[in-house]
Amino acid sequence: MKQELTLLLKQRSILLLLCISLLLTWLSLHNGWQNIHHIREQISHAQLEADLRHQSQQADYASRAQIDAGEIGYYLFHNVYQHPTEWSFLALGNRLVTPYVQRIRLLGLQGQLYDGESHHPEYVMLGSFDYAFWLVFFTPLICIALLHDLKASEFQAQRLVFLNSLIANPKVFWARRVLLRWVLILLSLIIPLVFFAIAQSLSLKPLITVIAITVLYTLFWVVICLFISLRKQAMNASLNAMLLASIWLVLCVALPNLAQLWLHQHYPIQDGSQIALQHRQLVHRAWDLPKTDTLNPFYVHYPQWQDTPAVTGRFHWKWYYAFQHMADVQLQAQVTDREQTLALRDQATAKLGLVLPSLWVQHSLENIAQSNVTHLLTHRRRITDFHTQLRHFLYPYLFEEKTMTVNDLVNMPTFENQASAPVHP
Amino acid sequence: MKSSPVMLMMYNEWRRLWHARIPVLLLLVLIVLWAISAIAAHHHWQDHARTVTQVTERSLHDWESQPDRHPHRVSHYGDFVARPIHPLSVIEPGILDQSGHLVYLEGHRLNSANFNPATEATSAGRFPIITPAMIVQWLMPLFLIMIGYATITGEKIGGTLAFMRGNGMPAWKIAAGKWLALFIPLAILLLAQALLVLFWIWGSEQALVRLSTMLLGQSLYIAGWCLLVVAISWSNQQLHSGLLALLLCWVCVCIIFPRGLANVAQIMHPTQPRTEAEYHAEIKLKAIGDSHNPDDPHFATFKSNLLKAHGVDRIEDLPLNYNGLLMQEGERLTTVVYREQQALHEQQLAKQNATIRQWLWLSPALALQCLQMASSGSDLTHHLAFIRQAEDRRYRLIQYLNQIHTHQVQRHDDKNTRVSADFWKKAPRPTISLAALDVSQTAIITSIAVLLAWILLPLLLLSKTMHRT
Repeated sequence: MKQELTLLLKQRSILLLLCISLLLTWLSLHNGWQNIHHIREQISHAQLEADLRHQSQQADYASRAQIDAGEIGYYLFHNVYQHPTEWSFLALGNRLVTPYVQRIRLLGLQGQLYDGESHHPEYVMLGSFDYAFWLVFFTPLICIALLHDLKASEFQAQRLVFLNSLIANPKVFWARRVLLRWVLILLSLIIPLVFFAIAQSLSLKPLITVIAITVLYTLFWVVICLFISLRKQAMNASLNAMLLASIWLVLCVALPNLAQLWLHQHYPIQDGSQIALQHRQLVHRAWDLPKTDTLNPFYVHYPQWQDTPAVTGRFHWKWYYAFQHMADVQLQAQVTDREQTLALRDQATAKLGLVLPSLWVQHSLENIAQSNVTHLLTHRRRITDFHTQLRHFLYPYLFEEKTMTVNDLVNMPTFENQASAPVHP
Repeated sequence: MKSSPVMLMMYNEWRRLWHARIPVLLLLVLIVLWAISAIAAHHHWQDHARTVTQVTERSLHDWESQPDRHPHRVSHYGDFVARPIHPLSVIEPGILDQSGHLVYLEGHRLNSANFNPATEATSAGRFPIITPAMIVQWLMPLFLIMIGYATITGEKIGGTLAFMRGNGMPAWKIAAGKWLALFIPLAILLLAQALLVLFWIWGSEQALVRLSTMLLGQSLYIAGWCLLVVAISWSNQQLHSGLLALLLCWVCVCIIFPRGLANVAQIMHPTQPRTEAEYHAEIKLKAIGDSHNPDDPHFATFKSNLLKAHGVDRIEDLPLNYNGLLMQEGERLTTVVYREQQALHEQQLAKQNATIRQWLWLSPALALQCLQMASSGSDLTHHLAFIRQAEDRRYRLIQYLNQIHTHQVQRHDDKNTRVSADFWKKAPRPTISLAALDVSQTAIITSIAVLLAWILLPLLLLSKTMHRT
């Protein structure tokens, strides 16, 4: 084994390749970390600003004898944050596009939920240079570079016949060679990973999962390389390289593409713009309808307010918020339908991953990093819950026309606090 | 008729490739992949095109079927615009999936472009999509490497190169013959693609200019790669090392550098989150003036100037509706602030672009992508041009409604007035059209410069190694 190692490391190109791999692994981790760090910084900055705003608002409200709850619902924005998790830097996934700070007020939720973030779209399209990308795309290439000419290089150096006559057990001989290369590739991936985890004192369990995924995926590629490069007629190194590169192209580019195409075909989804158009229509139509057309269906959902004073004037906040909410209610079926289809798409992706290793790795790493579409849906559900809490907080002031003072505002729910108490409407 | 030596070299190389079988097979695979990608891209494009037409139709229908309303109600009802797409984006969809294709135009609010499919993509969406542009950018060079890595090294090993040189054949003629042998089949493919696409995009905006820009970029790019293959093949003594060197080049140029550069730019010049920009805009607006506050200095001056101009003492005596005038003034102010905010955002993006441009010479693949996105109208500058058009439409529309508010609504009964629906039908809603190619001029020029440089670079390498043998 030791001779093998010296033999291998004497080849300068291989040493160089391993160093490059080591460096780029570290770079991919660092880059992912920088991105996540930026998100964290922006979130804490936003929180700080929100606190300042909150204080000045409190001072403003304290000077008034009575606060109009309707205005609170309309003018007060609440920040909602999508916090990255500890291991999010592994795979940026959706976090590259989704807004990490959003603001929500008491108006119809469907008009606010899908606000875009101001990223540079061209770069989002190019994608992120994170560990998932590095592992899925490049480790196969490194495996190919190190393993495609096992037999062929010996043949070309005219040592193969000699070797075959010398070694007692060819299987053990080749296994040792392959094992060594595999271990070196693995080390070039795992050493930076472990160092990174120690330096940032990250939790252990995800680390082990990530290492396991890395081991399995590289093993898969090592086995493929073996099939090609230890064939009987594997004497042409260039042919092997081309074959393996084609396999790489199919597994890492062509098939995932076809998979996505199939997903979109098989689980068609209504474009989000349709929701937005309908939402506007529903909200604004209410202005032209008799107030009871809005309030009666609303009271079906909230019977506790139905005996409150009727709206007779041109405008009343309770009618206003009722139609805002009713627009959401009327769209609920479509929204749930979309969410279910998205969840189905994700499940189908997971299933496809069972036969397509590249997809499996991407999907598993994104699950560890919590940056997949399912996590986006969970986040949206949290926002919905928070919005519901806000509504429930303000409704008594609106419907029972309870007076609101600055002391009542203390009990106003915030997005950060609601995590512990999910609402089930 | 006697063919020139260059032509002979080319024919001989074709004969060799034909007999080797694998290159022909690879070319066929490439064509099949192209066909698959074209179908997939067309499917993808149709989805977008359908969304755009649906939104446009529905938005028009909704707008025109509004009942009698108060004008201010209408300005909050607002208008939806979808981003127009060029049929060439079948070849290169660019940022179609990432930028959001719908903007909601509303009174005194600047809304973002919403609904990008990228947000809701599953893990499968993280893999780069194969489009015809991708085929040219990624796969053509890769297949080219596989087809041609042996082109001169093979002659060296077989001893024919020394033989030819010994017989007085100039090195440049050998190189030219080999280069032509590689370039012509691919150039024919590119031309065929361009012709097919021409049928498809016939009659669309700037079809010929856009297509020829794209074709020019693609030809330069492929020509550069062919040269690189010849040059590296000439400089290597072993088939295998040549292949590995070329594959390494490919990986760096096509995959590592584009993504790496994008990430560097994002980290060096991060964009401000949208929410923060919105809060800042609101703070600025408060500083300028609060129309609800009777003691606000800005609006107090506005009012006194107005009264003076009409020679009256009270707003009740004005011949116009003061509320509508207030709305107009307010809209003017908010629009200034929002446009400033948008300009700030564009500056941040421009900084990122500048960083990329500085390093663009590293990757001709990225240069080609910029060029292809620009010519298919799916790059950032086209998107920003769309945002500006949408904002312009918003302002005109809202001010039209405020005009109606001023002239058609009596102040004493302001909130109960409904204005005839005919006014909405006459409202200015200028059609949003795709920006002209000129908006991406800088990107196109830089890209072409980079692509030309990538032809010179292998030429230098070639002329150096040619002299040695």
